[in-house]
Amino acid sequence: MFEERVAECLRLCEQAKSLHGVELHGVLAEIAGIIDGLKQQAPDPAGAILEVHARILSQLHEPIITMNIDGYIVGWTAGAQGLFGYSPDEAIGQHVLFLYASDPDQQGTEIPELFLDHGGSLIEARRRKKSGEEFWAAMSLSPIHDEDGGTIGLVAHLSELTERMSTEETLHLHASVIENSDQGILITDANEHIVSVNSAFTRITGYTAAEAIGQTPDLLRSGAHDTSFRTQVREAMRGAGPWQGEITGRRKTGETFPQSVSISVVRRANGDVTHAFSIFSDISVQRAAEERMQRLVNFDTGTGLPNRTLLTQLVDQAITAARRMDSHGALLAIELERFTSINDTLGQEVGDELLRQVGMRFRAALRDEDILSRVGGTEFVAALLNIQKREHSAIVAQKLLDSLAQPFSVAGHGLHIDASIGIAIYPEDGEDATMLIRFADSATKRIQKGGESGYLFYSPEMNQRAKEHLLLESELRKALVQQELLLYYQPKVSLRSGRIVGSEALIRWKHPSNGMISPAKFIPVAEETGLILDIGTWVLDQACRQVRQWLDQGLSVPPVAVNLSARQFDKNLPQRVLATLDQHRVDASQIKLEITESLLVKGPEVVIPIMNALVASGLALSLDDFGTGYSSLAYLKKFPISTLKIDRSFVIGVPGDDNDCAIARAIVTMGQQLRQEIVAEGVETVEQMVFLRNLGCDQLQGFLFSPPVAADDFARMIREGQKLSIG
Amino acid sequence: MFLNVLADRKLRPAALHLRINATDTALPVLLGNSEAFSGLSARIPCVLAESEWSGLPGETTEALQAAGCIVVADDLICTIDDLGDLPLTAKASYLAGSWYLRPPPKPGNAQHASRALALQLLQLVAADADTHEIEAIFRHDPSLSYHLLRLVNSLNRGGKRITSFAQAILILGRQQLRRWLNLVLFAAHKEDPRSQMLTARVSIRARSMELLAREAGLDRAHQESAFMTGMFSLLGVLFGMPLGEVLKPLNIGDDLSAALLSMEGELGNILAIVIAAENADASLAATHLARAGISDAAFIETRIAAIEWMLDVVAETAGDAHV
Repeated sequence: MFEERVAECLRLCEQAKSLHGVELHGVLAEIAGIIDGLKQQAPDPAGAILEVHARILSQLHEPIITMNIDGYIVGWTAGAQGLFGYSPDEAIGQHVLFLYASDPDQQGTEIPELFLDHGGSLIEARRRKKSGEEFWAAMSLSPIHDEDGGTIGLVAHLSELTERMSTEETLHLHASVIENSDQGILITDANEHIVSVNSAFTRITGYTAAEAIGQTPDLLRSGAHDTSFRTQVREAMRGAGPWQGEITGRRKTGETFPQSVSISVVRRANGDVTHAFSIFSDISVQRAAEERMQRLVNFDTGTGLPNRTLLTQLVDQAITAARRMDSHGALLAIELERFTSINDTLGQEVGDELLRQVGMRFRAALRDEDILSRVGGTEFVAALLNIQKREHSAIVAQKLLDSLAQPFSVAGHGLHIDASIGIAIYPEDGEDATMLIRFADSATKRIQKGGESGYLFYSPEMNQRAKEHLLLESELRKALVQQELLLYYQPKVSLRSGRIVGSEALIRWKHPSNGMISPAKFIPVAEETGLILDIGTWVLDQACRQVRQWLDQGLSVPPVAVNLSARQFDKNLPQRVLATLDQHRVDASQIKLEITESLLVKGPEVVIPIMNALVASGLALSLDDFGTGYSSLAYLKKFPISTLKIDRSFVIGVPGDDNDCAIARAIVTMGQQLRQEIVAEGVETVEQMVFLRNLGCDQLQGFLFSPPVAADDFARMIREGQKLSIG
Repeated sequence: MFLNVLADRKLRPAALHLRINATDTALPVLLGNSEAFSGLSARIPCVLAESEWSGLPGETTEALQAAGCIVVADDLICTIDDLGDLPLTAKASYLAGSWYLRPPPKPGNAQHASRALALQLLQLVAADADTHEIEAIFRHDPSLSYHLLRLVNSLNRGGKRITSFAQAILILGRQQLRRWLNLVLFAAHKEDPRSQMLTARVSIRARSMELLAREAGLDRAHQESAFMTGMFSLLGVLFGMPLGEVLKPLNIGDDLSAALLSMEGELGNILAIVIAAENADASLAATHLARAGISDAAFIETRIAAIEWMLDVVAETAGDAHV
C-alpha cells in the first residue's frame, strides 16, 4: 500500500516536470493529497484510527471522551466540554487522570478502564470539573480495535448522576449518625419498652443494648425524684410535648449521676405516638466542678481572680510537679504605682473598676496555663508554672508592663498607671510559694526604692543574664535592619576531581564596635526570641541575591546551600522559598537546603510532607550533623534527602579514633544504600581527607581546602578554578 | 579493554565478549589486581574468540586466564545485524551484532512498559513503600520512567522542570501513581524479542553514565541527570521513532537534551564515552575519557560495576515472560 502510493507520487512528479500553470497546480495538489494521506497513516497507524473515531464522535452532543491506550485524551466532544468545562484545546493531549476527583477514600485503586478486562462496561465514578466541582458520573466504556483486533484506545460515554443517595443509603446515614453521637440515645415504643439504644447509652449507663432492649426506662430510675416530676416525664413520652430538663439516673453499677435530657416523640400520620426518644448527656463532671468551685471561696471578689490562698495552694502543687519534672517556673510580683492617688481623688468605685480592667489586661497578656492572682490592694502576682528558660520570665514581665501603656478609660477618665515587677524563680530562689512571693516582693521594693518602674529579678545573677540577653537581642534586631549581617561561603570540593562543586552559606555578624560576633553566640538568642525567622528569611534572600549577581557577572557558580532552622519549618515554607527564588530569578537547582535533626521534634508526620513539597519543587535537601541527634534509620529512609553530612565531631577523630571511624563508615554505608551524596564537614588534615575518600565520601568541606570566605573571595576561587589536590 | 554483552539463542544476555587491544600493556596488571573483574567472571562467562586470543601477548593471556576468562571457537560467536538473519547455524551459541538496535516489529506496541515491573511497583505503592524504593524500580525500566515523566508533565503543565525520578513521584502523589499503574498493567504489551538485550544495554549505559559522572567529580544532581541521559538515549531505538520526537513531551533540562540530541556538554561527553565503549573504539573512548579527567583504571571499574548492576536488573525483569 505504502510503496504503491510512493510510486504514484514519483510518477506524478515525473509528469509535473513538463507541465505549467493550472495543470501543474492540479498535479501538485494531487501529490500533496497523497502525501497528506501517508502522513496520517505511516508513523502511527493506531493514532490515525483513533483520530477517525474522535472526528466522527466530535459531532455528537453527548459527553464522549476518546483516549489512546496510554490514557491520553485524543477526542473531546462539545458535550464533554459542556459537562467538564474544558475546551477541546485544553483537554486533548492531557492524561485522563486529570479528570479524576481527588478524594482518596471514594475511589481506592480502581481505574474504570480496567473493568473492560472483566467484561463489565457501565461504571459509576467520581470526576472533577474545571470549576473544581466533583460529581458522580455514570460511564460506559468501549474499546477501539485495530485491524489485528488489538486494543488501541477507549471511548468513554459519560453522564452526570445527580440523585445519588438511595433511601437505603439515607437510612444507613441516619443510623450511623445515631450510633456515633456522643450523647446517649434511647428509643421506646408505644408500650414504653426500649427498642433501641446507641453506644453512648452503653458507655454512660453501663447497660449493653441486649440488656436494655425490652426493659422500660425505669431501668435507670434513681428514686431521687418525686411522683409529680416522674408524671411530667412520662407525659412527655406519651406525646404531651417536648420536654427538657435534668434527671438523676442510676448506672448499672448502682452509682447515681445527673443527666441533661430532652424527650420527643415520633407520630404516625393520624397523630398516634409510635415511638418516644430521649437524648441525654452525663453532666456529672461539670456538676462536680461547679460544686467544687462553690466550695472554694478562694477568689478575689473585685477582679474575680484567684486570691492569695488559692495562689499559694496552686503554686505549691506546681513546685512539687516541677521538682519531679526538673522544670522551671517564675513568680512575678506586680505592684501598681500611683494607684492610691487615683483612689483618693476619683473615689473607690473608679479605683475598683480600674483594678478590674488592669486584671483583664494582665490576664490577656499571659498564657492560659499561667496563674494571675490578686494578693493585696494594689498587688497582683503572676505565676508562670512552666517556662523553658528562666530568662523568658523577663519577656513576660515586659509584656505585662507594655499592657499598661495604653491609658484606661474609667467613668470618662483617661487613666494611666505604671507598675514595678519583681521576679523570683523556682526552684533556684526558693521552694515554697510563700517564700517565693516574699522574694519577688522584695525585688519589687528594690525597684520602688530606686524611684523607677520596670522589672527586676530577685537574684543578681539572673539580672545580669537577662540584661545581656536583652542587649544582644535588641542589637541583633538592629543588625538585621542596618545590614550588619553578611554571608560567607565555604566551598565544598569533590573528593574525585578536587573541583569546587558547591558551597554552604554561613552567617556572620559584623558588630560596629565589638567586631565579628560568632553565630554560636547569637543564633541561640535568635532561636529563643523568634528572631531566627527573620534571620532565616534574610539568609535565603541574600543567598539568592548573591547567586543572581554572580550569574549576571557571567560566573557559573555551583549550588549554594542555605541552612534552615526548625522554626522556619511550617507548611508555608515551600511557598516562601519558591517566592524568594522567583523574585531573584534563581532556579531551584542552584539552591540547596540544609536541615538538622532537631527538626524531628516537630514529628515526622508534620515534617515529611513539607520536605516532600520542597523536593517536588526541585529543591535538594541535605541533612546536617547526621548522627549527633536522635534520628533513627527508619526516619532517614522516609526523608527525601539527597545529601548526608558527616558532622565535624566525628571527622575530628578519624582516622585515629576507632569509634569515630566506625560511625563515619556506618554513615557512608547507609548513605550509599539510600543513594545519597556524602559530604564530610570540618576536614582539616590530609589524613582525614584520605581516610574519608577511601571510605567513599563524595565531597569535603573544611579548612583543609578553605575556611568560609567572603562572597568576592569565593567568586575569585571559582574564577581561578581552584582545586583541592587529591594526591 | 571493552566488554560487550552477548545474547544466547533465546535472545537473553548470556555472556560478555572481551575486546582487547593487543598493545595495551597495562591490562594484565590491571586485571590481576581487580577483584571486581574476578567477581564478574564468576557471575557471567567472559569470553574471547580463538582468533582474538591468539593475537595477544602471552603476558596478557595469562592474566586473562587467571581472571577467569574463557576462550571459545570462533564460530560459537555469530554476528547478526537483523533478526531476519535467523535461523542461526547449529554451532552458534552466542549472538553478537546490532540486531536489537533495529526498529521494533510494531512501533506502537513497543512503547508499553513492562508488566512485571508495573506489578512490582503496584505492590510497593500498596505497601506504602518509601519513595526511594519506588524510584529504584523506575531506574530499571526506560519505558516506565519515560511514561512517568510524560504523565507528570501532562498533569503539571507549566510546572517546574523535572530533574529526578523522586521529584516526579512526589509531584504525582501516591494515589495518582497507583491509578496510573493500573492503566499501565492494562496496556502492557507482549514481549518484544529485542527487549532483554535492549534492557541490558540501557542498564549498562545509564549506570555507567551515573558512575562516570561521579568519577568526573560531578555532584549528585548531575549524576542523576547522567543516569537519565543514559536511560533515555535509547528510547528512539526502543520505540522505533526519532529520539527528538520521543523527547518532545518531556520537559527535560537543557543539559539533558543537549547531551541526548547532539552529544554536547559534560553529559554529552560522558555519553560519547559509553557509546565509544559499545563500539569498542579505543581511541575515541580515550579522547573523551581524557576530556572528563577519568583514568582508564577508573573507567574499567565503572564498566564492571555497571555490568553487575545490569545483571541484577535483568534477573529482576526476567519474570516478564511468565506474566
